[in-house]
Amino acid sequence: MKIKKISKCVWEIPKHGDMRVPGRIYASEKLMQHIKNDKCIEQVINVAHLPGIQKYSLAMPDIHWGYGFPIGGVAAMDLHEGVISPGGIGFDINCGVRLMTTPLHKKDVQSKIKELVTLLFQNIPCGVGREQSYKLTHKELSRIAEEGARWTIKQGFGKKEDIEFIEENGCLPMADPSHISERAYERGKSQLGTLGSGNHFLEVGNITEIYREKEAEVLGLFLGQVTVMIHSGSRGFGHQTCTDYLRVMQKALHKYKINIPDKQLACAPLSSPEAQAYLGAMSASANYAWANRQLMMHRTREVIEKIFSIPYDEMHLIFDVCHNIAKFEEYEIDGKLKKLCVHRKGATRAFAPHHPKTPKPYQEIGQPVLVPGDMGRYSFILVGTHKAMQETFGSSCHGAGRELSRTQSRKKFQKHDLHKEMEEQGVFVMSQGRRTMAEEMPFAYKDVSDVVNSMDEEGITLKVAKIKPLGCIKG
Amino acid sequence: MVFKIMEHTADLAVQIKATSRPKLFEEAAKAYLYLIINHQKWSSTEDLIIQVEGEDYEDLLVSWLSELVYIFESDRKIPLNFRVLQLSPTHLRCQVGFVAYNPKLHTIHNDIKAVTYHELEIKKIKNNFQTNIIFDI
Repeated sequence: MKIKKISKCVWEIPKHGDMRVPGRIYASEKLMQHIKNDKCIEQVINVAHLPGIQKYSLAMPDIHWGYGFPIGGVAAMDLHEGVISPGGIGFDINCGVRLMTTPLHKKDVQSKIKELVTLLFQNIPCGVGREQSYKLTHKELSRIAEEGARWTIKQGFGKKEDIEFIEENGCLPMADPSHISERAYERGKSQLGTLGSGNHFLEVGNITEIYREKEAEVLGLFLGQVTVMIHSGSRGFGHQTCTDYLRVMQKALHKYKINIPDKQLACAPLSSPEAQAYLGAMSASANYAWANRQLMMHRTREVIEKIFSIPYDEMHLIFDVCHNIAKFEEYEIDGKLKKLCVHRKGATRAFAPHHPKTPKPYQEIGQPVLVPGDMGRYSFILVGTHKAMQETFGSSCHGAGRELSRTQSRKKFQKHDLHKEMEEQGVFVMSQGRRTMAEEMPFAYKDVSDVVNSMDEEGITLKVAKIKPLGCIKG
Repeated sequence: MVFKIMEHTADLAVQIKATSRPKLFEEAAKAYLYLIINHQKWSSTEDLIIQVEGEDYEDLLVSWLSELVYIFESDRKIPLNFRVLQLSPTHLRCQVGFVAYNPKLHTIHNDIKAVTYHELEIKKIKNNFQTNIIFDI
């Protein structure tokens, strides 16, 4: 199969076989060398087989092999002929990232970083099997599923203005808790406010570089400023929901006579009762994830307030973005504005300046796009552009993407003193297990700057600032 | 051990081989056990009969393993031994021996959150049955 180079960082997989549209990958030449050897190309092709897919099966520069969709995959579906695929959203529904700034400077924090990270580690359960001591009732979970981050803030765990800086204001109104199984309720009842394991983290960092002054000023960023980034999702609540609906969709494949190349892409027509039920359940799970990240940010604010004696209100949420989600959004197709169902799996919404869903204070600069790297190097703050709206269904990258598999990484770092090595790099890390640490070491990941530069080069998202880590808690 | 761990960039993949379909279901469960917990001989303290339904053998295999994932996460019971009592393309009945998870004794190796259908196909190769399973972690 021949992959055509379209521009410096855009590659096209021509339509062939039963593909309904071509595939397009956004990546530099360097990243593409790696991508070509990964099974993810096959997955971009598989997604192009889905009924109702519009324009292209897209892949962002951090694309890697997933299941069903590639991680870093984006596909927009026509509402009448198209489908929704739970495998195009993923198990961790609304896995996402939020970034909070503080008025602190790196020099205020450095001498107390161990104390800060230790207290965060004690206050935010993380890792396998680490749950809250209290259990939410069915009624409380149902309210969380309906209200998302609003529920958390109503309980006093946040500021009212936080809502404006969360994608969809932290609540998808299509949520219907009646479509959530008892099993999902069971798995979610003691996990609200917990980080989870794997690549989830809470990181204390500081701004080390500013690329665009105007945008940084609007976001209230300054050099040396201490930030907190939280990466987590809908925990067992979302995982169970995806598991439940993958099974529903297997049956739907037979019922609606849909042929797909991978069962993990099982789907149903958007107008079908199966799709509507999934949308209600997916939205409820997305709301759980927002409530979860909001609660963890609240705990973080309390810890920082206690150690550094700074007012809670001076810690601002910059933005909260989803990575795994389906959304109804409008795009121009053949010169006409059309409502589509956009699947993002390991990809970030990147709305342009003046888009009605870009928060009011950011109307002149575009929606912030937060791209975490690995725990040793750096992360980036970007903003969305009009080109993203035209080319990528308002989407951009979501992270660095793995270079080594978890097994390779564990083998490589088997004999290393991981915590010491991270401290030598200036990052104090606390983790529940050595295993996760070994899997998540910096060089298990690609260099995230290659990823964000590919998007910046194409004008899809623009770099605003770089964040370097100081401390981190992991599962 | 009649399974091998396969390379997968972000998640966990295993290849299972067995001399019959019932054995394949038992071996898949053993592979799950091997992946989640430290490898020592634990004794079961409770036997349960687990029954699951599926559209076909592949769907049934996902249902079976998803059931074990759910029991481990929600009830904190480790599934230790498995005996398939009945198997058809749409129904599995299996006797499972469990022990309660004890963080002082048991070290969780991988936080398996779900079972995927990706690349899942039960093939008969000569006299053996074989499949790949990718777990979401």
